Formats: sequence, structure tokens, C-alpha cells
Amino acid sequence: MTIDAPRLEASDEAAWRRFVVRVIAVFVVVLAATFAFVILIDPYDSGRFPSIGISGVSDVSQRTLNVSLGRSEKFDAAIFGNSHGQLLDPERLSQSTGLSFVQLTIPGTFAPEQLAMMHWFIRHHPRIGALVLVADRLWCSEHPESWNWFPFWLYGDSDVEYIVHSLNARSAGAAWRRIKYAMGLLEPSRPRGYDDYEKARPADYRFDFPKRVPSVRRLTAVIDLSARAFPAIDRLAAELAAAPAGTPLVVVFPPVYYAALPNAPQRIAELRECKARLERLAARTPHGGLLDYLVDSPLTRDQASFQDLDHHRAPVARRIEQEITGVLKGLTAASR
Amino acid sequence: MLFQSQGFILIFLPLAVASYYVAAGSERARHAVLIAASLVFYGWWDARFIPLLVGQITVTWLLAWAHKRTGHAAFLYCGIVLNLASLATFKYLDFLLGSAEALTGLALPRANILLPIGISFFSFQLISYLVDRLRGDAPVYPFRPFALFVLLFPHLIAGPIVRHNELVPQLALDPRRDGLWRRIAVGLMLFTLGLAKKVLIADRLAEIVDLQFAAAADHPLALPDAWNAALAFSFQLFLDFSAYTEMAIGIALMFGLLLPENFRRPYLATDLREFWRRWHISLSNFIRDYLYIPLGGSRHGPARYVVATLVSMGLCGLWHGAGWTYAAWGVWHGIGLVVCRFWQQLKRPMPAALGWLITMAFVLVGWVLFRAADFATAASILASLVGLHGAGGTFHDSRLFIVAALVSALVPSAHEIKDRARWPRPAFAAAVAVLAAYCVLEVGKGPPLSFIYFRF
Repeated sequence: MTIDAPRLEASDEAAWRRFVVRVIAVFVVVLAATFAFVILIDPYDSGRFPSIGISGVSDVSQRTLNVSLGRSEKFDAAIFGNSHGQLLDPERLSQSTGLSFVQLTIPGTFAPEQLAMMHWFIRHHPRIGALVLVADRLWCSEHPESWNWFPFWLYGDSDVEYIVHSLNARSAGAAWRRIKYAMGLLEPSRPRGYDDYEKARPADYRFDFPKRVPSVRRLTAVIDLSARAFPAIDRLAAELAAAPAGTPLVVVFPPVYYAALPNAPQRIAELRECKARLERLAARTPHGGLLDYLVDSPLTRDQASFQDLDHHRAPVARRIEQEITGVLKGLTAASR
Repeated sequence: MLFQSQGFILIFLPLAVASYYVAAGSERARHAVLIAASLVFYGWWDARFIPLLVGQITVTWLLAWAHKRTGHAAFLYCGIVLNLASLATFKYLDFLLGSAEALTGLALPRANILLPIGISFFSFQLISYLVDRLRGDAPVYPFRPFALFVLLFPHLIAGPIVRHNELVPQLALDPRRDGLWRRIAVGLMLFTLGLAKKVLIADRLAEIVDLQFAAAADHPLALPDAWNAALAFSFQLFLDFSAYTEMAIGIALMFGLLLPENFRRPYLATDLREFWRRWHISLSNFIRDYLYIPLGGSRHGPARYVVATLVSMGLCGLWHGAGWTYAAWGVWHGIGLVVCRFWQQLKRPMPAALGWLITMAFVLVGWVLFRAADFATAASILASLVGLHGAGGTFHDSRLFIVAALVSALVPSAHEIKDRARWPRPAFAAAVAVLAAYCVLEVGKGPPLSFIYFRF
């Protein structure tokens, strides 16, 4: 093992020196140019720094598309959640409520990502007509964690964090797509973020619902959960406190096929306590409330209501939209 | 801190190299820079383990020093026992308790101790020093270079396993000596090569590996999926680990230091003994010199040879992880080495192509055992590989496998590249820079995956 090459001529050493200088120079130039390109184009329409002024984006991933939608002044009301709330149509809700709704649900996310999304929307809206949160059991976790990749830095308050994370191939690709969009080579994104998952379903799609379902258990034991922590709900309360005064919050627990309802006493009790806390939080807001479909009912026993175990179909979504409208208009006084 | 993270490439490494050359005129100052950089590098993961690392180094050095003063070998034995005890406690305690529980049926408590990263590597280096001193092959070095022999951040976490006499003398050399720019240039090339192998190939194979091995733990795989899993892990392990080694050797070269070779295109080996001369060379040498030969090696008859080989390879397997699948993998290779040697003693040469095929099949079976979560999963995948669970489906990502195979077969080893580099041409410099920049942009997309060998 010898470290040193045979003695080099001075000219060889100079050539290697130039080689090193070139490698470093080209490396720095490529990265600096990419960084400047990303900041100037503002690929996700974050509006953090002065950019070249392209309006809108062409994006299909809600994880990044929602940066632009979430800060748009065209909307004063938003739907948050994951795929369980994806089918609520912002256009219909806008027509029925008189507000201007945007769909900001992000499939495959848990409470932390949805809270980051809500934070971004609240930060950019001095007046908010309504916040609709489509929650699920993950909101009741004692240790809420994010799931999959999620760009929290895109939705955070820190511009420094945004800059630190901007140097990447995904952002550079998105910047290039935004240029193509500005040149008319790409279609604009969905205007209100609505993506109907039923449209992507093959015509012969059939979900195999479980043939035998254990009987749904009723909670008889007394389980005291008054001291149980629900960190996601605490963070939601903090976000709500930072929202403009008088912002209504409607929390929806969408239905799941009854086979997927919790069956262990501890889980049932946790869900009940979680719903109660969310209900109290929502009830503190004007025209706020909780709509709870996550219960054993004719709706949750009807296979026609569901695309799979925990994704409802369009008729259910239309019904939820109507009831959200009722709550926001004060027509449905109490939470159901 | 990972070699392939943006923080390491864009901030830590440039700062460390610049500080090192600013201090290059003074041996004491440049050593101080390297020690500080290494402690920051290690502490980035978990600063709680810095006292363990520094403690093992200091106690080992003090015991060697006491041996020098008194001549009592007991000090050295004590050092070996202490280092082994540290390794046993942090890495194997829960494994031993679990095994004892399985044997006796008693419910035993678990220690649940976090595994300090790199403990297998730095403990082995310290043990090798003490054994060499027992043999009269190691002086007592001043503390600073001795500490750096273990701490030096390019090799601290996952090797190559360096011997004191390979590294300590280099630390006295002025890094500005003749060949400075060539060393830095080759260091940049090797670092970029490793970065590209890791980010562009190994991490993409990792997605297939994780998916298929998780699926195999749940249900039997069809034939194409099993080959997907086994081949993907075979290439991933080599490309991931050799990438780390190339980056480590490249970084060390930027500091004017040369780390030993670790891989020489092992998947070109035509017999298993050759495979082990090409695969994880620094570990193979360690096992040979500190286990196999002391156990009798091949000079005390066939029976002793078989025992020495099986025990050495079994322990080599356990070094990789506290689990019986690792031990079985080691013994599997031990059996293969014994069979290979006896075949070669028959003097009936096998055609190279057939030898390669048998060797690769043998190695591939071993990797399934190595990667699977348990014996049942390994058995299920092996059964799937021969079609016992159905032959339906298709082999995915063929292009990625072709690229992985070509890179594994064609890219020379780090030392071959170092010795042959004669291309200080502008276009090549630009290509290296653009490839490195592209990898940095790829890395920025999400949390980087750590190197496989960090867990060993």
C-alpha cells in the first residue's frame, strides 16, 4: 500500500492543480446556478422571495401543489385531511355556503402534515370563512407522527429552512415544469385542488368486503381517559388560536365500513374521548361543530357507500357536504 | 453525519479540509483539526457515545503504556478483555439474553442498550493493536497519533479496518508534500464515484430490497420476485458498502492519507476463496490474522483447518450482527471455503465460467440468509428462488439491475483508480463536477438512507 505516486513532474502537478480547481469551480457554479434558478422561478409558488412573476403552477402532487393553493387569495375557506376527505367537493361547498372553498387534503398524511397545511393557510389569510377538518383515528394518537415523505419546510414559517432545503433535484424539476407551464406547454393545476378518486377507478372495480365481521362491541367498561394526552388536538387548538377571530371550525369524522370500526374497549374509549375533545374545540368557534359518521349505523353497514373499507363514495360525500353547509349556516345547531 | 448528506459535502468537508491545510505546517495543529473534526462527525449522530469512544481509546493507550513501563502482559490482556466486554455489552447482551431465554425457557430481562455506531470497527482496531503489541509488533505511540488512528472520521464508522502501522506513520507526513494536487484530485474522483454509486444505484435498489424482503416475511414470493429480492440485495450490499469505502478513501486522500483497499470487484471471483480475497478485504485480513491463524490455520492438519475456518467464519458472521442468521451466514461461507480448498487440492481445475456461476450462486444464497429477518423468511425466499412458490409474475427494474451489474463488474477498485489516474483533463474534471453536483441535488430530495454497514 503506497500512498504517493512516482515523483511527479512540475507540469503534471500543475495539471492536477488545474483539475482540482476546475472540479470545484464547475461544482460550485452548477449548484449556485441551480439554486438561483429555483429561488427565481419559485417552483411551488411559495411567494417567499421576489421571483420572475409566473402566476400559478402545474402540479399534480397535493404535497407540493397545496403551497400555491394554500396561500391563494381566491379562497377564504379550506378542507384539510387526507384521502378520507378527498371527495368533498369545494365547488359544491362554495355554492352552498357562499364562501370560496379550496381542497387542501393530502392523501397519505397524518395529523402533523395536515396541521402544517392548516398553519400555512391560516398564515396567508387575514379573514377566514371556515376551516373544515376531515379527521380520522390518527388524530387521536398519543404520539402523532408524520408518514411518508412530506416537505414541512415548504409550509413552515422559516425562510432560512426553505432556502436550506431548496437545493434539490425535485425543486429544480418543478422549476423547469413551471417554466414550461408559463410557456403554455403544460396544463394548469386543478383550480380548487379537487381530485375525484372515483374517476380513476376501473369500470370493473370491485372491493372484496369481509364476509364475516365480528359483532361491533359496545363499550360497557368505564375507562377514564381524562388525563390522556391528544397532542394533535392541542396543536390544532394552538393553530385555531392563531387564526383570525371568529373563524369557524367544522370537524368531520367520515364513515368507514363497519368492519373497520375500532373493536377493542381501549380503542373505543380513546376514540370517544378524542371526539369529545374535538367537539368542544369546534363548538367554541361560531358556527362550528363536529359531524360524526364514524359510528355503527345503517350508513356504515351499507357496502354501496364505500369504495373500500375506509373510503366513502360520492353520494356519501354529497351528504357530508350538505351537513357541513348546515353547520356553517347555523341550520344544524348541535353537533351530530 | 452521513458522507452523502448536503451538510457533510457542502459545509463539513470543505471546512475540515480547509482548516487542515491552514494548520498543515504544524503536526500538532493539523492533528488537533482532525481530532476535532472527527469528534464533531461522530457526535453528530449521538454525542452521548463520545465518552465511550474516547474512553476506550484512552484506556487502551494507558494499558499499552503500562505494559511498556512494566513488561506485564496482563495489562494487554486486560485491554483486550475490556474492549471485548464493551462490544459484548453494547452489541450482544440482549442477543445473548434472548438466546439464553430460548434455551432455558426462563423469562430474562433485556438491557435495551442503544448500539453505539461504529463500535464493531473501533473496538476491533483497538484489539488488533493490543494483540500486535502482545506479539511484539506494535510500539507505544504518542497519544495524539494513537487516538487519530482510531478516531479519523473517514474510517471511524464503517472502516476500512485500519492497522496502526498502516496509518500512524502517515500521520507524521506533511500533507503538502509532492503529489498534493494529484492526491486531492483522486480523492475528489473517488468521493464522487462513491457518492454516485450510493445515491444513484444502491439507494434505488434499497427500495426493491425493502419491499420484497418485507413481502417475503408476510407471504411466499413468486419466482421473479424472489430473484428480484436476492439480486437487488446482492448488488445493493456491494454498491453501498464499496461506495462508502471509496468515499472514505477519497476523503482520506484529501487529507494526504491512504486507507487500505476493501473491495476488488468481488463479483468477478471464480471461486469462494478468491471472493474473500476481494470482498471486505480489511475484515478478511483481520479475521485471518487475529482468529484463523491463532486457531491453527491450515498448518496443523485438515481437522484443525476445518475447525479454524468454521469458527472464524461463524464469528465473522456474528461480528456483522447479533443474530443467528448472521452466524449461519458465516458458517455457510466457512463450509464453502472448506469445500473450495479441498476441491482445489484435488488439482482438477474447473472451467472459469462454471466456477464463477457456482461461486455467485453460493454467495447469493448467503446474502438471502444475511438479509432475511429470520430463518423462516430466508427459507421461503430460497424456496421461491427455485420456483417452489410459483413462477408467475415479471422481473421488475431490469435496467437498474443491468446498470448495477455493469458498475459492479467494470469499475476498478479504489486503489486501482488511485494508481492509474492519469487524466487531469478539463472535460473529465467537468464531468466529475457535474456528476457530484447532480448527486448533491438528488440527495437534497429527501432524508438520505444510511449505509448498510453502519448497523454492524
